Amino acid sequence: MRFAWPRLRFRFIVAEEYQPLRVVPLWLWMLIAFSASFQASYKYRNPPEAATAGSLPEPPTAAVLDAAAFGDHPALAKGLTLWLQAFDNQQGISIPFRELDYTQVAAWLGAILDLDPRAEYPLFNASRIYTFVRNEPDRVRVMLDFIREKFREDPANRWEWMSHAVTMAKHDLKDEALAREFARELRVLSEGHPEVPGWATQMEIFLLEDSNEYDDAARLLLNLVESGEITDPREFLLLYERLEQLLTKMIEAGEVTSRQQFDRMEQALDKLRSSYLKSRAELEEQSR
Amino acid sequence: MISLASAFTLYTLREMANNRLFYITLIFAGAGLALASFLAEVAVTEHEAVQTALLAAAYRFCAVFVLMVFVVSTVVREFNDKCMELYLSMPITRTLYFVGKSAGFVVCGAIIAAIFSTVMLIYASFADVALWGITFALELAIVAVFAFFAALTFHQHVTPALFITFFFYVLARSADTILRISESDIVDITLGNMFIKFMLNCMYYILPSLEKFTRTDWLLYGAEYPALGLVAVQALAYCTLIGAMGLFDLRRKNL
Repeated sequence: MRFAWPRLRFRFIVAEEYQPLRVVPLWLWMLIAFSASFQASYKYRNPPEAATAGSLPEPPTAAVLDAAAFGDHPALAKGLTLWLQAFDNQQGISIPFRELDYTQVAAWLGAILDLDPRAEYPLFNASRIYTFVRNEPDRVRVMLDFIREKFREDPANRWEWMSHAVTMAKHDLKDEALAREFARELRVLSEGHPEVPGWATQMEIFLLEDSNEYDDAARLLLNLVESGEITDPREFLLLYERLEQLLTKMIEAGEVTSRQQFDRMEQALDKLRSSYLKSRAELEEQSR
Repeated sequence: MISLASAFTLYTLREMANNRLFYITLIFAGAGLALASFLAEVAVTEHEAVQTALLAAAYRFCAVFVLMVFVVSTVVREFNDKCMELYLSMPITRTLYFVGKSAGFVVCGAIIAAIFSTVMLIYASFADVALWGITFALELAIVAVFAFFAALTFHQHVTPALFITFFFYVLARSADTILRISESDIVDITLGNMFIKFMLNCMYYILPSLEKFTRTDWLLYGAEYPALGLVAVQALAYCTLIGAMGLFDLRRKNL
């Protein structure tokens, strides 16, 4: 048998297989026109129900989502993310965030993240979209708690969102204690993960200094220097100078009330300086 | 003998061209790209990742559907037009016919996978798309051979053949999920529950684990080439199994 490649022609409908249009009777044309217009008017007069904010359902269980993914978890995760994101902005109406059940929103974001743990979209939404709701601190706290919970599961890859949560707690919620709590957790859980940058782990020091908590800030900085986490001279100098400025500010504000307190604060600075110089010397010795 | 088998393969490719399958694939590729681009506009971040994930899922589903329908309709048409009887009246063994046609269907699947993989190069690197495309072709090979087997079994009926192939694909994609469900704690240890658990376990061992094929993770987070070996072995083993079952059925048919 000799094989011959077919001539490929782009013809889906071959004209000569059909009779001309005039053979179609008038009643059939009328029937098609009537049916089509009836269908269009029926849909026009029966639009889909306007969704209300209260109708965000509970997310399905992990087992159900696992089955529904048919082995393609990232695709389902992305699809669900788009659906959830568009939930507050449906056809004809825009649901304010303050009317969304944030507990359900957090549950959905958690379910989506469980489907695709390496995705950043759910945490982005939690930190940059759903926290933009004015005068609703409780809703913002729900999102921040969600970010904290997810950060604990994977500190190496989700530190960025936790650092954003620290910023949100300090500047939007004006909750210094919560911001320090987040910053402390960020520092502690980032130990052993070199991919977390120094500025993120040092957020706690800055917060302590901003709160005039000199002793805690100095102690923390000393710990970081002694554990070898701060080795860059410029980085150390920045943090050291801030501590010196804090001391000066506290003196000027009259918060240093005794000679003993002043001596203790000066000793802390000296100890810090000498620890840093010692760790630098050890580092240079090792590199030789 | 090889030239006879390859003749059936080439005729299957000709059938693919006659059925406009190539154009349909191109239309699906373009439509999928447009739809994914539109959906990604809704995303406020990870635009490319959203497009990639949705497009990959859509292409996989379209390819399986198109190939399944093509294989079943071709085989049923050959039965109805008595083409198969014509072929078998020639000095051609049933094994030769079966192997040639199967190879043709597998090559059709590879062509479809290649077209869709070429589009995915827009969103991922060549190395990532290569692994995805190769495993995609292997997945379509399994579907093609199974569809051929189903069409031979229900040789005059398109609907049951299509239904069983689609059902097989859905279950195979969920094989690992089926095992997880069967291993979950059953509150009441009843005879019925134990039987269900036994059946779920049997299904898991019979079905190929298509979850490990054509993973979207490879396009999003980088290819994991060590997985290719196991996937290839799974595809070869399963195609051999289903092929043998199809050949078993064909050799017993009264034609």
